[in-house]
Amino acid sequence: MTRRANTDLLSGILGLAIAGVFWWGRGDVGRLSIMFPHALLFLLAAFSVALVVKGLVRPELRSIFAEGDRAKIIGCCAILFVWVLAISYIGFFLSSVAGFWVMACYLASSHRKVTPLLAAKLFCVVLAEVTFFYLIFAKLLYVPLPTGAFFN
Amino acid sequence: MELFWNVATTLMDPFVFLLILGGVTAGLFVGAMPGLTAAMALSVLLPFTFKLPPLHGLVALGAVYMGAIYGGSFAAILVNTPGTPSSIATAFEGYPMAKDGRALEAIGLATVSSAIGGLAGVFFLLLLSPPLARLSIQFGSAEYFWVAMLGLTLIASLSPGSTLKGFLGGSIGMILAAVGVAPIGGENRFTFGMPVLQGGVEMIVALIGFFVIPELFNMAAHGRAALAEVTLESRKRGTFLAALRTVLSMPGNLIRSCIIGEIVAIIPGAGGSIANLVAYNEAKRASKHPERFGKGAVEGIVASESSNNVTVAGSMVPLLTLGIPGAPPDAVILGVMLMHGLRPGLDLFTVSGSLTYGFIISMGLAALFMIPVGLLGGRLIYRVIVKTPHYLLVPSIALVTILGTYALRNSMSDVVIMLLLGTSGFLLKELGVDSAPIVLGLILGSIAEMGFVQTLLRGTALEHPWLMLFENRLSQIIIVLMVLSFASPYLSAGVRRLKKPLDELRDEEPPE
Repeated sequence: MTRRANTDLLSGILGLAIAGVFWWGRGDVGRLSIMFPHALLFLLAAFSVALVVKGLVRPELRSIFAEGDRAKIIGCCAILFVWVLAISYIGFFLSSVAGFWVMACYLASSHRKVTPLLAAKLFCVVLAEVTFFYLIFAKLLYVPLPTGAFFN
Repeated sequence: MELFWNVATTLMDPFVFLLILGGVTAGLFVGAMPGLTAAMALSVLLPFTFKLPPLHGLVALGAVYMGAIYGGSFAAILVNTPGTPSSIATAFEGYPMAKDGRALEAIGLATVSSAIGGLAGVFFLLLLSPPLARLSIQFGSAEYFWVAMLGLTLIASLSPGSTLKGFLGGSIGMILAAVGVAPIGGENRFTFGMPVLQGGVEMIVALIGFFVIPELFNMAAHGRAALAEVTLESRKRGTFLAALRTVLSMPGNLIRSCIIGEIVAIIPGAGGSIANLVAYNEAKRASKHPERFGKGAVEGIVASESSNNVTVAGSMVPLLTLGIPGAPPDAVILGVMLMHGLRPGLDLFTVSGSLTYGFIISMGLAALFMIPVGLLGGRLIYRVIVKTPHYLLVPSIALVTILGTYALRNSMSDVVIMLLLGTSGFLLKELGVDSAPIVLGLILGSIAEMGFVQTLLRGTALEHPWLMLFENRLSQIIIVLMVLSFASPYLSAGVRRLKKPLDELRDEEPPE
């Protein structure tokens, strides 16, 4: 089903919301630090108002979230966030092996049945790839990757 | 003449060629990985040059720099992710070409344009250093502000749909650039009580987020990698000779882009990230078919890649003559020079002439080495991307993205910010607000603020401090350019409207 929305109005409202959040969060700072951001916030608000007006007078209707499988986007987004947040707790290596493997199995499931054999094969590939990048970054480039609770 | 022979004999050493080959290859692969910048590549390789003689160390670093800036185009073309900020505009045309089965053609064009741009930069550096250096010190705070404002005129061409939404995106980007410690006042702004935001939003973090994450979501949503198998036609057009013919068939675009690259390069702090966008914008404006831009226009790739590689040698103009590093990688090179007792200035070109000219010419050789290395490396990376199933490709890109973002400042907060910005970028794109103006706003925001506030500070003794913004002749020239840039689309549309009735009238005239 194709959804068409008044994207002028929506983006204008979003712009006003962003301007509002930043106006509220500007802090108690001196003139030198805030004069330029103030001007930017006024500009942002002005463009947003212009979009709202255009959305009311001559709206642009666009199809949104119309292409592809929306569930896959949400699923991928969720896995990515959990993967990234887990890095601080269980370290880069473990969370990346887990996150990568779960995402690979999840995306593969839309094309074929993920059998235990395929899952095991994917696990081997994932383990090899994460180990390769881990060694490059941690041992060659000396990037101190998060170790998490298990390796402390 | 004696100096020339000295330089020639020094460079005709197999070890020098090996250093250039290794440097270009290493730079290319680092540049191709999102998040790993040219500055990072140079910093990582710096310790390896300590034991080398000064010329060999500088040759290796110059080659890495050249390779890294060029390598950014690979990720831009193949996964719609500019490997470095210098390749943002390459993604606009390269990725649609790759999706269309023309990946090898795009890589061939990027390679040849980069090599020509690199050679042009060396030419400018060898012949025009003194006048260009004099021009670069004319840029004061007011000029920086106006250059940033001039840059904002690019928004119109970076917004494929509505220009108003482009300006909204640009404002959001500039506000994001204001997060953290104020560059002049030194106070915290927009941190919302979170100490992690004090460091601000790193430009590369935002670049990765806004470009990579939406693309990952798209690949996941479509259940396939986005690239089509390369066509036979693209394979033919991707060869060196065919790409060279195509690039040379647009001399105006090439020369204009190289000049833009050089001018931007000598302004410290600007560099390839701005040069590629300005050159792209001008190529689109000058094109007879601007409607083809964004759908795989070869002129766009030529403009972006030639201009960004000019900046490599171009930014050496203020570095070698005045000691001003134009971009972060230049600072690393300056450090190596100082470590070997080489001080920027006239002595560098006279007392240490053979070393300095040897370094400059080696960058030209590095540009030439990019052709074989790039064409082979490009085919290799393309094959890997096309042959990898999407369910492995998407998490692989996510892994490299997470690593690259983290490695910038060893900060997990940056990774979370990248992910949040990327998700927001995806949602904004659905609403018609493109990522490119947001990233442009982020790049220009801090330059504009610094220039604006510093100029007003300089004018505090005056009754109207803001008049300082208009005082300098160079500022006035940039303002005129800015007004012309803003007005030109409307002027040309007006001229077209005026011409149309005349043409119709002429068509209606009865034959005698």
